[in-house]
Amino acid sequence: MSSLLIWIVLIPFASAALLGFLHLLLPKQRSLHALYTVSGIAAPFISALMSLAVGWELFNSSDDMMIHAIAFNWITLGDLSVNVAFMADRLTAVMLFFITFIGTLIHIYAAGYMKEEEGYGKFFSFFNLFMGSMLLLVLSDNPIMMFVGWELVGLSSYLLIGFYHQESANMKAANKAFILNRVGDFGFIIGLALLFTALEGTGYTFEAIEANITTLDSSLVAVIAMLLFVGAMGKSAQIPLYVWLPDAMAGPTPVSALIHAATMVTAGVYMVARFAFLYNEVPQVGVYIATIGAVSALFAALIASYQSDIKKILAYSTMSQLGYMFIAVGLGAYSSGIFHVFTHAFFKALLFMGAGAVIIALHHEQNIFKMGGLKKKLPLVYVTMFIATLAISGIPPFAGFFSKDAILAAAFASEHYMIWGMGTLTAMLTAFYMFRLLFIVFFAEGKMDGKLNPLPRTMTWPLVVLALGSTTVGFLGLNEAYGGTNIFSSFIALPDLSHHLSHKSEYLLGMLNVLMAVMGMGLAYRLYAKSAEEPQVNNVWRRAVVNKFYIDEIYDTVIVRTLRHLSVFTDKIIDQKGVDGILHVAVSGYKSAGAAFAFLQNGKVRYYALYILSGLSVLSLLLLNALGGM
Amino acid sequence: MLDHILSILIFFPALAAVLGFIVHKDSMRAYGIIVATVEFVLSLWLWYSFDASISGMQFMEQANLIPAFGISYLLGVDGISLFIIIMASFFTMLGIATLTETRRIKDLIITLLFLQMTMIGVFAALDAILFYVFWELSLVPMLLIIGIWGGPLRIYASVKFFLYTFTGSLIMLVGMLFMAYFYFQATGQWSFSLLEWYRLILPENIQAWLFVAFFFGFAIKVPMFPFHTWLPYAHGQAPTIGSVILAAVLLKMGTYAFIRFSLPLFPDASVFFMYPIAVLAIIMIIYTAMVAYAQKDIKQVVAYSSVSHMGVIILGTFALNVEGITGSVFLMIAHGIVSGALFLLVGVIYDRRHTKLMSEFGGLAHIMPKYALIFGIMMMAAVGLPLTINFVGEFLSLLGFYKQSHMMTLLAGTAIIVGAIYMLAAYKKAFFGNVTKDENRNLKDLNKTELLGLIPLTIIAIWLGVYPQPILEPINNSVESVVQLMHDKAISPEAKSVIPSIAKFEIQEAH
Repeated sequence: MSSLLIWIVLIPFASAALLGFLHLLLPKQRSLHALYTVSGIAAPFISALMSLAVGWELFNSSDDMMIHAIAFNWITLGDLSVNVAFMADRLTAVMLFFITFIGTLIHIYAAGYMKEEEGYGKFFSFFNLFMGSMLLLVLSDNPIMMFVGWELVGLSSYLLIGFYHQESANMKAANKAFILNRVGDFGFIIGLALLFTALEGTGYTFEAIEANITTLDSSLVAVIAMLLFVGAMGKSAQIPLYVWLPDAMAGPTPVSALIHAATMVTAGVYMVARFAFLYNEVPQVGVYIATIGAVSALFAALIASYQSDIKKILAYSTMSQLGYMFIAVGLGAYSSGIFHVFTHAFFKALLFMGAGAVIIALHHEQNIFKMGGLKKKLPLVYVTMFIATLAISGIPPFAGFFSKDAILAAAFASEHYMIWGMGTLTAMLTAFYMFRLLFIVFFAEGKMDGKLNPLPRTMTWPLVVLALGSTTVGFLGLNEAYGGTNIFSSFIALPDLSHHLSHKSEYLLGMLNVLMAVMGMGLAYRLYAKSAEEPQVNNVWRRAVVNKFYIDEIYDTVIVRTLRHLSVFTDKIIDQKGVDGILHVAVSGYKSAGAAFAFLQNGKVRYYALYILSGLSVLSLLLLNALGGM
Repeated sequence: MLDHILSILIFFPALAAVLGFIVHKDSMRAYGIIVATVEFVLSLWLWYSFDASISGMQFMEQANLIPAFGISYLLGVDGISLFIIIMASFFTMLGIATLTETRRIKDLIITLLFLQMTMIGVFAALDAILFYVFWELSLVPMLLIIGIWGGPLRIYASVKFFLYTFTGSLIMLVGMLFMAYFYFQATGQWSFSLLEWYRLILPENIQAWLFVAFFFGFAIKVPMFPFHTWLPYAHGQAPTIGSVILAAVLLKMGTYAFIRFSLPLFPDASVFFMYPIAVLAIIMIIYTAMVAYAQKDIKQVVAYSSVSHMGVIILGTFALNVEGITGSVFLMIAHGIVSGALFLLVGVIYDRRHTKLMSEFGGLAHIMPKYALIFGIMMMAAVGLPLTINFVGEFLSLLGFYKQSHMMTLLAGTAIIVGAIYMLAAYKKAFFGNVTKDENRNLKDLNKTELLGLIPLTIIAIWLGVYPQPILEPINNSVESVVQLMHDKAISPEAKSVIPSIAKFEIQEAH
């Protein structure tokens, strides 16, 4: 069983390498398409099967069961010893399940979406690399290997966001993603270094760290927890490191689906849950995380309500939903947080794939105000998107209701009413902007003429599978108040900080959430169901929101340009005039000294006679002095 | 033969260089490749016969040169120098094999073989005078390479290179003479043998003076801020082969010498100067990273980024603990592989377009996909992506220094971010976007010779990133004994506490 873990990670990497080489050697060979498709899809599929086997094994054993696999020793140095080793517990099993399952569906979808592209083989190579990196991240048994996966995820996203690299703007987005992720990674690695030095060599694996964590001073743990969370801010797009996520839409739509649903952005939430034992030591940091989450959730929802690019709306909605997840893990409701990751993976993948289908059908149109009336023309996409929208808005019995409700209930129960309030308000906005999207695209009067592109079957049936999932997976987390036993959280067995909440208040909270969602939905219906006009940017508030509060511009001026100017200044003035200048002054001083001394050596005998005379005089004086003293 | 393998490694290329004068110029390339390959195989044999479990010197050779002054021909390798020697012979081989220069090819190859002798000599010498001789001799071939085969400003660049480094070396020589004199005072006999110097415990103030004298020699070679201004000119004017050898091997002489001389000879002074040097290293890391960001010439970007990473090596070295020093030695290898490869790659495009300005390119990824891929991998290695060779070295170096100071390591670490910024920006400018210049439309992708040089480097850069242990272990063994030596020799209690004692050796002593 344990060697399965190694294969789960290895197979996508191997496939990525194979496809990459083939594409490099035979770039124009269209006959290889079949091979690219088969190998590209088979890799995540095989990993998915093996993940199921691992999950089944864990399901049938006690809840603290862990499967270990050591591949080889990576670094041994003094008391530092790091293995390339994998570990699966129940948290891993859940992550594995949706990463590989939804990942496979996205791969299948991509085979249809990308089939006309020149870089088809390269695309699948990068896609598999992405899967492999993400699987390495969730399966690693020590934080260093997790960091390796963490960085490789950043690399894969860079490659995929910049997939259409002939467009300069896309590369700008790719660079932005890589660099902002690097900023987060920097915090993460510094946090790890602090953790390792503090533990003085007693813990390099998660288990060992957990065993020794209580020996550390809690203020130190707080610093470590904060630094690790900086990494999560980068990967999971929270304020202030979120700006890469909307721009990441530059990549092909399947990439967005993969980044937003199955991989990458969930890494931060997973990391916090993995370090649950550490975050439980310092609840004050947890509250801070939850606050960042709540603010991000609300902030992103506001922006999403004014966007007109279909993919950007979904991007901001991801950021907003990630905010919910951080509210949960920050307040110690780890299993609710992971549950929302889990349900979100289904409906967000579905939303992106549906959006992609619309985009392809409309010949790469992304502005929702240029769409409309697609209800009749794309019935399957319409129905599945409708389900996903219901799910994300939190309408029972769709998946999003249960997970979001659990998070808001946890926030309420832990008496952080401010966070709870922001979450509830966001819930209304979520329903508003999602139904706004749905109504404009499918209900409002059509503005597109001409024939739609036909959609291949590989692009449509994954939508159906995901729609089924979005409808049903919520029941896994049905809690006592609603007559379930919460299979999900009892399976995953995370060290939740529990707060008691009476059934009555749970019902009230649930009803409130549904009410908020319906209100948002109604508002969207009134404004956009009949006809939709692009919003007028006619007051300060709207202008600010449409321009995303000018955060990009502020970053650009304050950080990017400053760095640029400072660099040029360092190069042109300090280095060339300053440091090298001093050297030149020294050299010219040497030269003029040489010129001065050259005057003495002028070839005139009378000067030389003078030197001899003065030399002799000095010597005689010295001698006289010395002898006189005797 | 194994008894004299180091002498063979040093003098075989020199002998071959002399014989090279009678080889016809058309067959000179083949001759050079064969000689360099034999030399490389010999160096691999050295590795094969090297016993990784021994921490001290191996394959020692000794012959008296000037007994009256204790100057001897003393050679030896340990885990610290072994891989640098292999790398030196590897890059000489690759460099000659991928040579595209056609002017005075015979002279160039003879010069390179001569250079190889001096490089291996420096890393194998255990006698200070012998070390000094090879150290100074290495300047001559490099002076010639820049001065004869260089760009338009080659004379200025080569003279600056020579005078700058020569000045530093002279100060170092004075330090060496004083060191021998102090040894004479203490023991009554002259010796320049490093191994005997290691036994000498000097008072703290003398340590400090000597440390400073050696420091000038080494720091200019590295080159450390603010002594770095010779390097951009040297790289800017040097032909590809010159830059490759300079970045991959010659700069390592400085960092290697810190570990071989400064640390074990002057442990208290090393502790005393730890923070000042770390400050210089950090300035060097950040400052050159920023200068790199301002460059328009891709070779200058690579040159400054190479200096920036040398700063991390210095920082690791002056962590004065096993993680830091092992990391820095590993990073020397990594830096050699990666910056050597990057200079080769810049050479490839320069051969085709005779310009190095990034604004002249754009969209190369579309025209030269293989080139773009290898360049991309090396760029990612340069920014320290995990599973590439640089990451291991940088991680260990920074982890080592983290034990001395959190804040300073944090500052140094910001270069991780700035490094990504300028590298990605440069890569974007040259490789992505549309093809804007017509001249670039028909550029040929890498040819067989170029692939022959670049593929092994790519494989090493990834292989040692994924599985560093084979070379990390011998390095670690030797570094541990250096650290233990420093700990034992340190006089002040402060230095004793900063330099850790190695548990392994304590157990051995207890037995």
